[in-house]
Amino acid sequence: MSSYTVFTTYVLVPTGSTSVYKQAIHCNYIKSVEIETDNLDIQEISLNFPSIDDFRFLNTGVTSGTGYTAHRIYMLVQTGVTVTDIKPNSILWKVYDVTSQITGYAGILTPSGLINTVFKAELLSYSSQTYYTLDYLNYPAISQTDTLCFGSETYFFGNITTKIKAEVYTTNINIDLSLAEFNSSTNKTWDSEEDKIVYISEIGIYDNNTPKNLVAIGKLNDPVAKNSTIARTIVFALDF
Amino acid sequence: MAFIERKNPVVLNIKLTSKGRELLSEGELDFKYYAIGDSEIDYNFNREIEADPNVSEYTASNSSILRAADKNADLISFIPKNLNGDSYNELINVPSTQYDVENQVESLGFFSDLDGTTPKFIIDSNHIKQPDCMVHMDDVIGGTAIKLYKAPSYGTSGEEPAIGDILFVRWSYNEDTTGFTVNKTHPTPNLFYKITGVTGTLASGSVIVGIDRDIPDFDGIPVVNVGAMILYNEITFSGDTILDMSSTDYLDESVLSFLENNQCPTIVFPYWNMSIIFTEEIAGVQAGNFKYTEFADKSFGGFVSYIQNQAPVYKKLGVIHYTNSSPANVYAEGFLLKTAVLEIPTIMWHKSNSTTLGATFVPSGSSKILTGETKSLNLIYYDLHDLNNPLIIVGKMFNDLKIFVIEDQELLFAMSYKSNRNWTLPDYNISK
Repeated sequence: MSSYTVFTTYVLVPTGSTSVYKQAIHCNYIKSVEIETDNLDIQEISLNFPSIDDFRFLNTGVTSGTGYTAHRIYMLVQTGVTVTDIKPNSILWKVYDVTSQITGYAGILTPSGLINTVFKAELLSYSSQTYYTLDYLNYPAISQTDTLCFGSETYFFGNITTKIKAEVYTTNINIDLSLAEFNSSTNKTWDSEEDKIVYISEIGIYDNNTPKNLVAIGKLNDPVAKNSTIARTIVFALDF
Repeated sequence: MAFIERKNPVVLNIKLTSKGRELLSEGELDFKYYAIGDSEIDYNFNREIEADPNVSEYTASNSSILRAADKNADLISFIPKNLNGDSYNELINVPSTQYDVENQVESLGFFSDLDGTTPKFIIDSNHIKQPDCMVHMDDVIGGTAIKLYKAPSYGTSGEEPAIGDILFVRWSYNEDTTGFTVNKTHPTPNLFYKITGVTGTLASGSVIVGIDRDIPDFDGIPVVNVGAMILYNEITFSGDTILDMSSTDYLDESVLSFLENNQCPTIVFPYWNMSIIFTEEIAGVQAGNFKYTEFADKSFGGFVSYIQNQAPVYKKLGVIHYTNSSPANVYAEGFLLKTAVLEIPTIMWHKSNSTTLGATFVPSGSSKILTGETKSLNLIYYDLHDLNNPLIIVGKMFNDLKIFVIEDQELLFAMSYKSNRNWTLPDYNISK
């Protein structure tokens, strides 16, 4: 026996005198099924829709004014011998008009008609079915860049609303100034006899080079007093 | 240069100096020593003030200190640990902590009032080139040309349609769709076309535009007027809007003199981009047809594989991203958790729980890691699902990449300009 892969999808088609809107692109939920057989021709592929709610926008007459309408349903089918990573070839899709399989079909597709039908495509007639094309979209020819094609979208025709965040990494440096330390100054105006307090106005951070580079600096909004009766812990942070 | 504003409690402003940033850029930055200084204190002067009987309660703590500068002067006087000791003290420990900051960003896109029952199109010149067109439906008899008239609201913009512009038409059989309200309870085909030719001027009353494919055929059916808008073709547009600005135009002129100022006022680009990327041919494309390798979005092709760990399940993806020339960092480092909301007001979503126009998608569940069998991006994402049903997943939201990836193949095509439909088609079962 040989193994075949059969790809399917479908397209809804507005036709006839009561149609208004033009044909739109086929369904792009493309599925496949594998068949082990000695004779592919005797096989048939079945397609059915599970939920009538999915057709909530399909209306049964253009005069209803809303949604979309369609008059025929085509199964699109492609077969091929199964190989690794097989994928459908865009030029080899065949069209099966399965509209007549709808019981009670009255010229326009209805949600109930679509739901209550198991559509079948007989592979015996596969070779005689017509090829599916995108001519109905005026699909451009090779290198025809002056008209619209897929992949030309630029705008997202909607809105995005969100909160945003940023992660902040902080280097925290704690400096303990004990009672007995940091009580004198090299400031030329500081007098060890008269000035019993030093005032801290800045803290410099240096690297390990020679000479040392001032790589970060912190300043106090109010100079902080320090003497042998005051112990302090200075905490400063550098955000990255 | 400015002085530090007085605040309580004490705030220590610390920043890297220019030298520190230089060393950081070279990978050579380290924090090895600290020094405490009193360079801006004049003890002599403070003693004089303190001795002045006319000045009360003044100490050196009342001194005003200059803000730390990028190229700050070095410390010139130190408070050493010990009298006559070394001014530089070794830093024993430099711990790091991490915390998050968050903020709300205003909704960006083509619509306003999305929370209400009547969303509206934003029609300023940064969004819509010419919002005030309409179609007399008795002119609509098929073919690839369409006659546009001045809508009653004409006057907002004097722009004329041009070849390459995108035409957006809100078709309707029995309801006037002129105006700028999205009528959610009246879902109809809202379709995009590309203008391929122009005859006449809208200013003169009406203009005939050629478009890329057939329009509907309302011949013989009593109909009303429907609204149409012309969107910019970003590639060739030249006009007085945000769309034809160069990168530096997004900065206020005053900023250009202070490019290092991280408080740059910038112009926020008003909407998001959408790229629908095809890395395989669409069913029905024939040998002589335009190939997916020629599509405009082909430059994003590598992303389809990348975002699926180089093992793509989906060959077609929609990427909604915020790519533009503005330096404004609108979305910071990423979306906060599951706070993002993606709204598409003009599609008919077959998995909706109602028959109203539009769909809303939000992130759901727990965060996931994008992992692969052999290689992994180790990237956090959330599933993107229908607001009304968390079981209906249409794609992923990557918080840190600040992008949405649409995987639902039908949603992709309903959002495409070329599909000739703004509705999604239902899923189905097949069997042999």
